[in-house]
Amino acid sequence: MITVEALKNYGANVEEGLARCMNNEALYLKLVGMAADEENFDRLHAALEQKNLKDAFEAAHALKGVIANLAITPLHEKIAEITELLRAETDMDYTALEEEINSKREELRKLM
Amino acid sequence: MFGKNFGLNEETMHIVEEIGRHMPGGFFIYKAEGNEELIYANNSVIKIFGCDNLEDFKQLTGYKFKGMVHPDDYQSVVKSVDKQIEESDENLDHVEYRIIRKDGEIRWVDDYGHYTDTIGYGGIYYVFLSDITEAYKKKEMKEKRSEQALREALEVAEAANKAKTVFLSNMSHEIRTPMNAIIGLDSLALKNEALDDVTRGYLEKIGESARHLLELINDILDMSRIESGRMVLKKEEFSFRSMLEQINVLVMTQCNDKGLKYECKVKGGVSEYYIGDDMKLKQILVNILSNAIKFTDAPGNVNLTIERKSVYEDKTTLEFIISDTGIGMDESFIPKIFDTFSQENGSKNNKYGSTGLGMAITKNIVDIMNGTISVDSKKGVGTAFTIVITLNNSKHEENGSVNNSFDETKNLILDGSITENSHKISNNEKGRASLDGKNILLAEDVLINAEIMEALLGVKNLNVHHASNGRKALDMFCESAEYYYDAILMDIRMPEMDGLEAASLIRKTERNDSKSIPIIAMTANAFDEDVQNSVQVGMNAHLSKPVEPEKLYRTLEELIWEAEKKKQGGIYL
Repeated sequence: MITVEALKNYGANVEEGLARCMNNEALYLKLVGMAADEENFDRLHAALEQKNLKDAFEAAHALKGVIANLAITPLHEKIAEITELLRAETDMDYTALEEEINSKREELRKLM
Repeated sequence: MFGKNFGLNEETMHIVEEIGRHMPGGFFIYKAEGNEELIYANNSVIKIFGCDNLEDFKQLTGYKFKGMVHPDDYQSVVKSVDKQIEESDENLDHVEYRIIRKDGEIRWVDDYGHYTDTIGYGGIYYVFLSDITEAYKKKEMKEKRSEQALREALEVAEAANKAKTVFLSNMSHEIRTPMNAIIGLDSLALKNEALDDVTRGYLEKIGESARHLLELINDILDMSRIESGRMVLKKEEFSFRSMLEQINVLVMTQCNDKGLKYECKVKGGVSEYYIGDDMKLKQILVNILSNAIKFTDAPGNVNLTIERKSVYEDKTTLEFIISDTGIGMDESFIPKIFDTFSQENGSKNNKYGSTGLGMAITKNIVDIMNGTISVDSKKGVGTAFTIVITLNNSKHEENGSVNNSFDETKNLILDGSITENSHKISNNEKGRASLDGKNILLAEDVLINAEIMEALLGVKNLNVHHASNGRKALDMFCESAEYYYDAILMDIRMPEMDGLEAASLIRKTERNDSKSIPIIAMTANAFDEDVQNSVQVGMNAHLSKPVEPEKLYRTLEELIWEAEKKKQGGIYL
């Protein structure tokens, strides 16, 4: 079961996230759980595989919003980075960046 | 020629072969269904494809239509033919496409075909084919050459324009120095009380002409600066109130002199401070106001109305309307009004003399500010100019929140006969509505974000109705009773129908609340063009994600209050 302590250790800005959920801890933790399983992660991966940069951007952008809302900082930086690159439709190898995002995501999932 | 159910079959085929054998142009027939297999291709077709005989041709193309067309062109040929068939049965369908000859060379062909039903072969296409490569190449060359010529001509023209601008700029400076001397000395001379009337008259006329010349030179300088792209806008904080006061003093004097009535009205929470270029903004307003005064005779009215149209995170859009009861303009002149040197009555003797550049300069400045300017006029009735400008918000008033904003209604009624100015200032403060129990339509596709918003709004006891995309939001709005929803929170990026489209359609619905319901855009994008787009579709405000609770509440309170007041009618805010 995920706890606020674990999230803090993971590096999330728990105060900010809680504040945004009106200090409702149960809601916050539930939403963080939902975020870790967000289908946009898979959508991002699929789009990048097919080199569909536009679709990848939409997925990354949606993820960025969610992650920022919940102040899951370790994920936010990386996702923000990939979002901007995709916004400009940068032609590059996204594998490394994706790896970093996935590893941070797995770390989060392990806290559940 | 051929009718439906043409009696073509294996037995009658030889007639076609006979015709085709000696035909100078290409002719072939292929099945409309299945794999478009050819039934017949005459010698000319075989030659067009660079083959020696039918066997060769069959090998090259597989004896199918698809095998004849260049692979990159096949799709578009099919599309074009289908479209032409749909449109009309009257003509032969015409397409041009490439083929790859046996020797590998790419050739362009002209294809005229038609469909017909036959007894023996079912549905077929019969086609007349010619090799048009030479003519095609010639056409391409010609197009390239004229493009090139145009490009060069454009470069030459631009260079000439720049040269002219630099020249003007230098000359203007040179000319201004002696001009100032003339004006200065003329003023000094006029101070001499011992002047006789005749000489005084001469000196006054000299002064007028000199000032007119100076104005002309300044305008030319402005134009040249604009054209050479050297007009740069300031981005500094300025006091909107002071700017307005300066304008009003200037205008009041001119109106007094002419016996005109002037009124300045400010509506809707205009702030005291903004960030932008006050000098240029003043130039625009003064220019148009001066024109209004110039073209209005006593007894007449000149009005300036300023209204805050919308406000966002960091920008505010203001609408300025300058109207007069002057001589107005002919409808045919209105499109030319912003051209340089255009005046409706251009004769040298007209009493409204001016430089002819003022409007052009004004429009250019408005354009550089990314604003809009439009005019409405009726000859003999009057004219109204509408200018919409977006300024950046100043943090100056952040501390005092809305209470420090510009007075709700500040009427300056200036009548030529009154020596004192009567200022009517009413202190209606920007109001805030209570959010308790209000209904909000929330359009947001990401569930997590929607949950957060619902939690936020729940704190203030708002009833949240959630739509997961723009289309659903539109449907929910249309199915609701009028005025049921107090506000709409619209995410911009959503699948199926995005927030901009949904907002635009909501505004277009025929309900009493379509135009008045507050629509607030929510987006992670604070980029200018997103904000501009929100304005254009009629959204009232813009919050950036992640949404700050206090900003959210305040925006809702203010917009709902404004909407309620409007609904009550009468009280103009």
